[in-house]
Amino acid sequence: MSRKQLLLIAGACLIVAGIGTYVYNRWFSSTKILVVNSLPAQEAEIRLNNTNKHIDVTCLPMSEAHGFKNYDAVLMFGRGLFLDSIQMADIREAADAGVKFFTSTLRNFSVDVNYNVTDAQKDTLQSYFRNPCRSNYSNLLRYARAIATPDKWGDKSYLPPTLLPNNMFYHLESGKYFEKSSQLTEYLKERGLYADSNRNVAFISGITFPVEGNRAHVDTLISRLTREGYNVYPLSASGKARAKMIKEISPAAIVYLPMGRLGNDTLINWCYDNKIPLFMPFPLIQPREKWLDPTLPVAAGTLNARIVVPEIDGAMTPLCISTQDAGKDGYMVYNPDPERINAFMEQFTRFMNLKKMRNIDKKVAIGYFKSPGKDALLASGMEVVPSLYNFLKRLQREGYNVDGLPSTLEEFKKELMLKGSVMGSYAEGAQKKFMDEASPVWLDKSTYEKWAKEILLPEKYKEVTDRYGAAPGSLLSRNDSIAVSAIQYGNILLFPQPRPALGDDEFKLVHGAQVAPPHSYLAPYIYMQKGFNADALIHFGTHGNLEFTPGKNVGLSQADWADVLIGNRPHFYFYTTGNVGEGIIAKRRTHAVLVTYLTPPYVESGMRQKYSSLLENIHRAIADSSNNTVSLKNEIVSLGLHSDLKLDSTTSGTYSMEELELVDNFVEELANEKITGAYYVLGTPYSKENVTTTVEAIVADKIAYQRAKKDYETRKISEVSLHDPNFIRHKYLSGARQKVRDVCSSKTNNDAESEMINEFCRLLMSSPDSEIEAMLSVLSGEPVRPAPGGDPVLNPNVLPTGRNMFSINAEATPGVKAWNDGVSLAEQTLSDYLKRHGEYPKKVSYTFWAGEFISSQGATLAQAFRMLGVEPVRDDQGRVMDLKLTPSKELGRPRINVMVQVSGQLRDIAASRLQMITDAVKLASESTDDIYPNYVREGSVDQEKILVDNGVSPKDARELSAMRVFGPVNSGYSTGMLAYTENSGSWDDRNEIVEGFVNNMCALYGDTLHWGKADPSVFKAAVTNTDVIVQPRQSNTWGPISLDHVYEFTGGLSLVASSINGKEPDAVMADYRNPYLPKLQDANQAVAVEVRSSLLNPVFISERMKGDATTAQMFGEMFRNIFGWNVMRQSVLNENIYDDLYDVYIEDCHDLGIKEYFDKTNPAAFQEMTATMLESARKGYWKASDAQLKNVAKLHAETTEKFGAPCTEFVCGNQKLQEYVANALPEDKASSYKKDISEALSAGGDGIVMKKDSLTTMLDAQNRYIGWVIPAIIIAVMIIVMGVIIRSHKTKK
Amino acid sequence: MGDILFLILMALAALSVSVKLSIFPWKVSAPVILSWGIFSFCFTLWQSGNSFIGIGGVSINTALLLCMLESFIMVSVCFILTRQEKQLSWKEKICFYYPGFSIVFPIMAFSGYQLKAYPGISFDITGILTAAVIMVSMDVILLLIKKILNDGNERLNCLYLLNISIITIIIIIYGIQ
Repeated sequence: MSRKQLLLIAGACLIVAGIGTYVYNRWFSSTKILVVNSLPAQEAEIRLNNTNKHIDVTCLPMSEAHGFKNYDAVLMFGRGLFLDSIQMADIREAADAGVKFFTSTLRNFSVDVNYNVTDAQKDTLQSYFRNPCRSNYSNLLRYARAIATPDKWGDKSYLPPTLLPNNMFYHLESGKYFEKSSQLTEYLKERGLYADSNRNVAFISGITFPVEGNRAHVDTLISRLTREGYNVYPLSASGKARAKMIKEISPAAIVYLPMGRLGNDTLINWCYDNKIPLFMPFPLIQPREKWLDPTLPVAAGTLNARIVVPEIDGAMTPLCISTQDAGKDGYMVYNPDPERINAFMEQFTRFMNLKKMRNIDKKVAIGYFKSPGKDALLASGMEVVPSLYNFLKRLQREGYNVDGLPSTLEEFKKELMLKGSVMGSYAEGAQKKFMDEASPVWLDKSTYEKWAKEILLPEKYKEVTDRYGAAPGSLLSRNDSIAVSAIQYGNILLFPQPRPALGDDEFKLVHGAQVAPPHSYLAPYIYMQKGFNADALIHFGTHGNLEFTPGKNVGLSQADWADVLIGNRPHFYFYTTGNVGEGIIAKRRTHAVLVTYLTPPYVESGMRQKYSSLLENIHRAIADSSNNTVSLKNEIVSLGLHSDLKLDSTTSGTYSMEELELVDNFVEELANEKITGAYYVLGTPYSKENVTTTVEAIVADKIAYQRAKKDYETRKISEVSLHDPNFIRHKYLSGARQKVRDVCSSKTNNDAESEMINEFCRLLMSSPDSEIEAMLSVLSGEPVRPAPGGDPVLNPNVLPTGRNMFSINAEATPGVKAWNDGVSLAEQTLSDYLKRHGEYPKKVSYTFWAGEFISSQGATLAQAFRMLGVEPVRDDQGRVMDLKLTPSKELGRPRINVMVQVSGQLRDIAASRLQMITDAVKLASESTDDIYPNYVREGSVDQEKILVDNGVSPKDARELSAMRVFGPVNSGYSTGMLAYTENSGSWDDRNEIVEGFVNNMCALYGDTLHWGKADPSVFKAAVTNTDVIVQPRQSNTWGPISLDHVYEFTGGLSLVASSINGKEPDAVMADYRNPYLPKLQDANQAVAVEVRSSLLNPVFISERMKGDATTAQMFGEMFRNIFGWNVMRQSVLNENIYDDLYDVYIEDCHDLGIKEYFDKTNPAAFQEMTATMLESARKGYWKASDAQLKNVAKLHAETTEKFGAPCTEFVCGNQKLQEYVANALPEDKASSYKKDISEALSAGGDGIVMKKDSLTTMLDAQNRYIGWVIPAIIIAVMIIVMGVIIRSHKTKK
Repeated sequence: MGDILFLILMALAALSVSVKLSIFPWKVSAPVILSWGIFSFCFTLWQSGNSFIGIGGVSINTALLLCMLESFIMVSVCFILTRQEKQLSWKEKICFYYPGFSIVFPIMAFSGYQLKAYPGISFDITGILTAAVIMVSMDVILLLIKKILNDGNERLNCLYLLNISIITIIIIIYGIQ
């Protein structure tokens, strides 16, 4: 055959093949249908019900949906659908080529992508989607084939949609639906599943799901509830129909598998009015192994719909009851977890039984919190002992069995301190004394082990024994038994929460190691469950540490300590309304129902009166420079204000106008600083005076601002004045305050302001009662109404207290107002820095906390976005789904690099927002329109370079160069550095603190790929070149001195930045305390304001001295926090601070009776304060004179002699300090002091020497040693070979 | 001192291979240079996913050992190659066409340097840049060698001296370690 013929044949074959292919594709090939954004269970249903072999179905998540042209029809589930611009372009292109697109939408969704389908076709497709059953899934595909490829050969038949009832009752039997509850009742009676004596339970599973198939978790719950003796009414409905159907049933309880809210406020209020508790366990659309992985966060959409939003309704029991795993066909099916189902049923049953039980029979365990040793019981803002006593007395009046409760508060307090104490592992002497004298509950080893193994998974118990040895462990143990610190009055058990780690492990906590709690920690909880057999557990006051043990953040399993130690007891938690961020963690991780309590009352600080004359003089000088005199300067210096503001103190010359304005702002801050008085006692209303001052704190700013706004609207003031906080204060604040005082003292007017003031007075007066009533209600199986949380000054809606706090929808953050606040603060940060340094900062580092995030609705996040030059993109529901670049021209400045460190609490509630920060960094880095420098891109390149230099591969370094979000390692919640810093005898060099901080906070939380991975080199690279550190502040109940976490986080980050960069960054606080005028506050000034208005303010001290031991303990805490700042960032403190504290607390220069007060209420607190001062001197932070040292040491030793060693960690855990104190004392006093300490520490008379646990990382040196032997041999061989070759060559020649 | 000696060693290794290549006609040496260019591009991309342990994952001491081995081979080649190409036996042809592989290490080191020197630049571009520099440099060096050392024997003499130097430096580096 010739070549030409061959070519012809080949060509003909090609043409035939081409035509054949075309014909096949056009008429014979399968119809290709793409389904986008289906849930895995829906995907399973669709694929399994594809009964037409001429249909190829592909299901893809929305992020992977592309190549639409390759399909004949594309069907999309609209719920949660979000398509980016590339996908939309792809869709349009495919639509132009004739592909049919249909989106099944719900109301209010505007993602409506329909192409090449008629209205009738849309209606039909919608019908199939909205009536999910096997028949409809099958015919949906058939119908799509029929309309998309009508010319194709093969079966194109389909049935019309089967219409299911929209709103229906159903039960276990598939295909059986009922329109009315009465019909279901008849059905249940026929099958023996109903009894008149049983209580009804409404079971809501969703809007149109599940009807058929893939509902094992639903069926399991229905069966179990029925078996427990309830008449179960499963229903599927939405909106008004749902509400109507629920009311029809008159349920005793509602079980809802949540997807958003149960209903509107009307329905929710009806539930609470009728005392119907809401239980909301949830199924997870994740495989089991992912659920159990503590490092993987729950997806944002699931978190929001299943947990966050239901909390707004006051949902209880947020347990994960099922996962989705691959069935035998490989499709995802719901897989109920037996243990979790049992856990839910037990919690449900026990809670419902509380309604039926008599109070006298109810056993209630109450856990409280206490520092080790003789220090007071602890709760944020609450005087614990009288509060606890009040509560117990009330229980007694309500008929609970509280036999043996002491008749007086004093006796009760004595008994608590004796029998209900917490021991430090270093205090062997104190332990011995406790075991001998305090009559603890003894658990013998076999009982303890038996119970522990019943409660704990074997591998969890093994973790404990591997670390601490076999039971009973080393703390509070004797003769193979463990002593549980507990006091029982009738059916009420009180126990202190023990230390979560022991000895060296407390240092290991510094490294962020996941540490199992010791036997001494498990024992009281195990006893509570198995020995005491509590019907309910209450944790008393904010807050403990169980909810912060490592593990999953939501949907915990039996492998998580926070879940398993609470057991399946109904758990209730008295929680301060001022701390919503940590409260939410307690709610989600220990299934707690929160009952909020008031913060301490706000009181007049006296600062305004003190500085009024100075303020007047300053204002006169600012108005007319001739009034700026030397005497004004002297007045400022005499008050010590110059040292707070780092101004000169020379007595000649005057301050400049700029300096005077600085002083003016500072004094205004002082004058307006809100302080709180003595700690709140549960059940005891504020005094009338305190009600007035608190209402003043809540509404005076609001009234002032409203009056200013009115004047602005009537053009009496300018816009500039409206936004000037000093102007508002000068012109309107005093009038507003007077109005509050007048109304509260019954000089009422009938205007809107008076109504508001009276309402707040009423809410404050009624709150104490509401709190106890709420707890009593929940102990009777009744629900607690939900409410927002936070500082009442910032958010008065938290009143009245006695309610169950909820969080916010993180997906909607930053909110619109939050965005504006964030922008304002970000720009202020930059302008202040520019003014100070003459250039923009290259990098700003933020600390994000949950409380601030919730209260400010994400304003903290907004600041970071604004720095980067990106802005949020919202969908129709107001959720922030995407980001876009702010054009460089509009931004008007460089894009500033950021770094963010987060608390574990924030990580848990806003994971999607943290990932969004990484997206924002990438967006900013890649911007192409910059007309100003792009410090974000520069920072990413620098970060990459640093990582490569540190041995990271270039590819990994490039990926990690965008990482800016860090947080606690091992799913922890804090830096872990508080205990270590304050255990100052165990470290000498600040570098140890730096290394500890870096090791503990270097977990990446910027994207799912690296989520939770610890990488110190990335953290250090991200902190490099930090110019400014920003700390958010949105509560008036704490400040940088009163709250330890401020020095812990911001101070710690500052120390790390200084260590890496060689210079200290600026530190500012983003102050949101006034919701109308958020502003920036220099950290130095913030500290100075707080110190002057609190610790050094005789008014504050006198107010606090009205409180008891817990209030007194607060002083010790503030002293420790000052010590902490000295360690982390000494420059933030006034250099004379210790001298001032010495004058006030040691010399008692204000004659307040300081020593007598502490001797009476809490001598341990005074010992702590003096110990802190002495330790500061020892470390060189306080240049004390000999006389000062001797005096402080003398007082410290005298108190120790009189009251015994306090055995708090600061004192008894620090041998170096003990020696230092002894050296400052006369010899006889020194030996007496040592004896007192030794008695507390040592069981056998010999002292314990604390082992120094250094955090210094030991570098492993790798010696690459290749001995001389091998190369020598090789050289020798080569020489021989060469010789042979040369010889053979010569021979040939 | 060790770092400087190592850099000198890398340079000498590259030069040694270049001299060896200069013995070939252009139609042989051009594809070899091209293949080194392709290798440097591929290696740069591979190296971007690995941390910089040793040279391209090979420990320094192993690299020195391999360089020394090659130097011995090159010295042997110098002694064996005394006749014209067409007259060589098969063993001699192997020696003649042996291109030299120790240039791998300078290429790896240079590639690593490039990756570190240009953070933020796409790895593909870095790879192309590296390959281009390698190929152009080798071409230029080859041209210079052919111009300066006209005679085949002169090139062999140069090759011999270079490799003796390499061996000496390696022994010194071992001694310093």
